[in-house]
Amino acid sequence: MQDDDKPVLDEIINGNISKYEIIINKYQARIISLCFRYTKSYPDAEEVAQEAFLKAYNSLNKFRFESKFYSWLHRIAINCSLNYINSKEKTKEKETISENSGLTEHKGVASVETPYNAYNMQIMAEKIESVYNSLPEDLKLVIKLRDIDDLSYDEISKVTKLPTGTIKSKLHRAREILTRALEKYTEDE
Amino acid sequence: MNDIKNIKLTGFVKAILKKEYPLYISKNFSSKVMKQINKPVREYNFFNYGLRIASAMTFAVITLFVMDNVLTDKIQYSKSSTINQEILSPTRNVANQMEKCEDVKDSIQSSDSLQCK
Repeated sequence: MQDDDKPVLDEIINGNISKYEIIINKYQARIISLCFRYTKSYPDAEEVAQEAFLKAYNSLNKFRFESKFYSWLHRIAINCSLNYINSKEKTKEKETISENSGLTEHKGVASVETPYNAYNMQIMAEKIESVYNSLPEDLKLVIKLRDIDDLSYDEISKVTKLPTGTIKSKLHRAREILTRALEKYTEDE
Repeated sequence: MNDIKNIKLTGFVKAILKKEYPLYISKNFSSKVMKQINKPVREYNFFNYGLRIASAMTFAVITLFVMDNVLTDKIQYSKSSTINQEILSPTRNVANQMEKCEDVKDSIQSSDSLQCK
């Protein structure tokens, strides 16, 4: 199975520890979001996510690349979250939590004040959604197939009947437009 | 835009598009994790192991000394009669042992009986 993270992970395994920051930055939002579904508290979700990233790092030598790295990290994060729930004796909550309970939870806590020194993802999401909707249809389709539906380049090629090189180029252009829209929210770094 | 920042923003975009994002993320999240990763691991060699045992023993000796000297009252016994004397230190009633003694010549002394002097 082709994993985009393999080259970076190989470097980390060979001793270039600093490259792990790439992995953290790439997946932090999704992993914290996953942990939040279990912890129901953002500070706790970050703590559990931190533990998950640490566990993944410490077990990296055991990762055999038989699945995608994110799937493996996802499983570790779920285990850490379940350990958190068990340690907090929240077994009743565990029964009601579904992995697919999703984002609807944000609606109820949207008014929560963003802590100092944190990214307000709600504002970023509103911006991204509006930029995404204004993208040309071909770029929107490529982004949807690759980043939302997680299709491989070959699969996208079959769907769109475009060569892989063209798909990569369109994807790069679409991502650039979207990331540029977020730049002003991270300018203070 | 540097590589790390670009990767972070791409990660945010993907999370938002997949609708898997938290309400907020600490700006220093990744640096916190990296700090944990780079934290030196303490090695337990013979010296450290010996040091731990020595400090545990020192603590035990000091604790015993404190318990013996500070926590227990000193009782002073007097050889002379204390009747009609002002008692200054803590006292305890002590009775002389007046149990019946047995003559060894008469019978075989049992283990719990007193021998006559």
